[in-house]
Amino acid sequence: MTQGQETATAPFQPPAAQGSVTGRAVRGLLRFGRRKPLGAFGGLVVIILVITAILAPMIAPHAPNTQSAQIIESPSSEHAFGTDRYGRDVLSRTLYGARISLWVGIVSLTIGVGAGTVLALLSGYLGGIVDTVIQRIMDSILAFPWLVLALAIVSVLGNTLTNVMIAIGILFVPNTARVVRSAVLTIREEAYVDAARVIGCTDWRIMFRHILPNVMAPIIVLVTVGLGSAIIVEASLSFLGLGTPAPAASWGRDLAESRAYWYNDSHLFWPPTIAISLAVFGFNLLGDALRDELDPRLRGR
Amino acid sequence: MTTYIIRRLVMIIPVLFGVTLITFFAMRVAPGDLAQVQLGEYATEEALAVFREEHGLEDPLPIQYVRWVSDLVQLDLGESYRTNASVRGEIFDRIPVTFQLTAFALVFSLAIAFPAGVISAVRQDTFIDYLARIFAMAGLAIPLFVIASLMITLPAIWFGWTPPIRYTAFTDDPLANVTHFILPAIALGASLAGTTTRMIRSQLLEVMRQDYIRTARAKGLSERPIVAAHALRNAMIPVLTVVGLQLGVLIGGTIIIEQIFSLPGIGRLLWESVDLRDYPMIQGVVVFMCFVYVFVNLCIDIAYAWIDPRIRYS
Repeated sequence: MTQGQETATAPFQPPAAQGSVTGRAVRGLLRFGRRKPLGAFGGLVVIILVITAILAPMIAPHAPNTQSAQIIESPSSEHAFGTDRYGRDVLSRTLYGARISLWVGIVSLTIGVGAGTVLALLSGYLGGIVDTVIQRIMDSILAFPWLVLALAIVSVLGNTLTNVMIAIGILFVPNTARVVRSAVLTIREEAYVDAARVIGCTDWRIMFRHILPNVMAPIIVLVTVGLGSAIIVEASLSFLGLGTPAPAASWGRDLAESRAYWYNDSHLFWPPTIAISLAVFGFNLLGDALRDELDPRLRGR
Repeated sequence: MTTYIIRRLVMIIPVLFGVTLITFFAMRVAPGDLAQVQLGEYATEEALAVFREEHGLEDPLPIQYVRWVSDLVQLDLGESYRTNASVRGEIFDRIPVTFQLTAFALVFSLAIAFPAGVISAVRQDTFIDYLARIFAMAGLAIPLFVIASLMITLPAIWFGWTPPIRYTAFTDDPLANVTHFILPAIALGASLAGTTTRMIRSQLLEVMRQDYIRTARAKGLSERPIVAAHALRNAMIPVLTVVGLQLGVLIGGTIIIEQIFSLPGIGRLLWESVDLRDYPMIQGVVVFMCFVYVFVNLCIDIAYAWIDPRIRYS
C-alpha cells in the first residue's frame, strides 16, 4: 500500500518539500517542539518508554520473574528499588512493565482502531442499510461504561493476555468507527473518488487505496490518545486481578499485589505508581498536541 | 417539546435492545459449558442435567434470549447461579451505596471544575491558569486506582494515620457514613473534575469571542455580569453533554473504588460475580448499569432541549 501511495504522490511534490527525508523530518519535529512544548515533552516521555521497553532485557539488572534475593528487601545497591514479596527485583519488574503496557496498548489499539476503521469505511462509503446497522451497533456498544464492558468481556473469555487485548481493543471500535466515518463521508465526495470509480476500480479498492490514506490524520490522533487510555485500562484490569495474568510484570498487578506492604515498604508502592502515571501523562500530552496540529479546525486556538 | 421527547425516547429503543443483545450473547460465547463452569469438573452427568433443566439451558439460545428479555421488561432479572438470590434484589440492596458514591463524586468534581474552569478562562495564560490546567491534566492522567491508593497510603506513610476503610450505613451513623464517603468520592471524581475544568475553560474562551459579548462590553457592562449572565450560560450546553458522557467513567470507576475502599455497592457486586462467574448476576448488573447511563444521558438531552429552543427545532 505504501508503495502505491508513493508512486501516486511523487510527481506532485512541491519544490519546497525537496531535500532529504530525514532533514525534513527533523525540521518538522523541531517546529512541533517550538509550537507545542508540552506535546514535545510528552513525546520525549513516550520515546523513553519505548526505549525502556525495547532494551528491558539489557538494562534490567535482574530477570523479572526469578527470585533473586530475600523477600521484601529494602532498596540496596544490588536492588535499587528493593525486592517484592517473592524476592523479585522491583526495578527490573518496573522496567519490564513498560513492555507489557506498551505491547498490550499497541496490540489492542491495532485490533480496535483497525476494526473500527474497516467498519467506518464500509459504513461511510457504502451508506444505506450497512451504515444504519453498523452505526446502531456502535451506539449500543457506546452505552456500556468502558470498564464494565472490558470486565464483562474478560470475565466471559477468561483472562489470558490475548483476551485482555481483545477486551481493550473492543473499547476503541465504536469511537473509531464514528470519527473515521465522518472523515470518510467528506472524502467520498472528492473528484478523485469519482475518477477512480469511472476508470472501473472496485469498491474495495476505492475504500482501501483511495479513501483510507486520506483519513489517516484522525486515525493517528485516535491511536496516540488511545494508547494512554489503553494503558490505563490494562493497569485497571490488572489491578482488579483480571488483566495480564501473573507472573508477567504488569504495573497494575504489581501495585495491587503489594497492597499489604504499602505502609511499611513504600519501595513497592512508588515504582509502579510513578511508571503508570508518567506513561499515561506522556501519551495524553503528545496526543493532545497532535490533535491540535492535525485537526485544522483547532489550529490557532 | 413533546415531539422532541418522543423522538428521543424512540431513538433509545434500538440502543437498549442492542445492549441486551450484546450482553446476552457475549455471556453465551464463554468457553466451556455453563453448567460445567458452575458445578466444577467433577460434577456428575445428573447434576449437570438438573442444573441445565433448572436454569432453562436446554433450550436454543434465541428462545433463552426472548425469555430473558421478556422477564427483563417485567423488571425480573432472574436468580443468581450461586446463591439463588434475586438479581434485582441484590442490585436494589446495593443502589444506595453506589448512588451516594457517584453523587458525592459528581458534586465534588463540579464544585472544583466550575471555579477552576471559569478563573482559568478569565485569567487566560496567567500563573493561575497554568496551575489549573496542570491540575486538570493530572486528574485526567493519573489512573483512578493510583489516586485512591495514594489517598490511603500517603497519610499512613507521612502521618501514620490510616483513613477509615469500611462502610457504615447512613441510618446507623450519619456522620460516620458521610465522612467515610469523602475520600472515595474525591478519588472517583478527580478525573471528571479534570475533564470538566478543561471543557469549561475551552468553551468559555470560545464564547467570550462572540459578537454578543463584544456588544455587552460595548454597552458598558462590567466583566462579572458578562461572564456570569452572558458567557457562562451559553458555554454550559457542551459542558453538560461531556459530564453526561463522563458518567460512564464514574460508573466504571465505582468498580475500582468500591473494591479499594471496601464499599458494598453495585460495582463491587459486579466484580464479585465476575470472580464467581455468576452469569445471571453479571448480565443483570451490566444491563442495569448501561440502562442507568443511557437514561441519564437522555435526561440531559431533554434538559437542554428545554433550556435551548434551537435544539428542539433542529
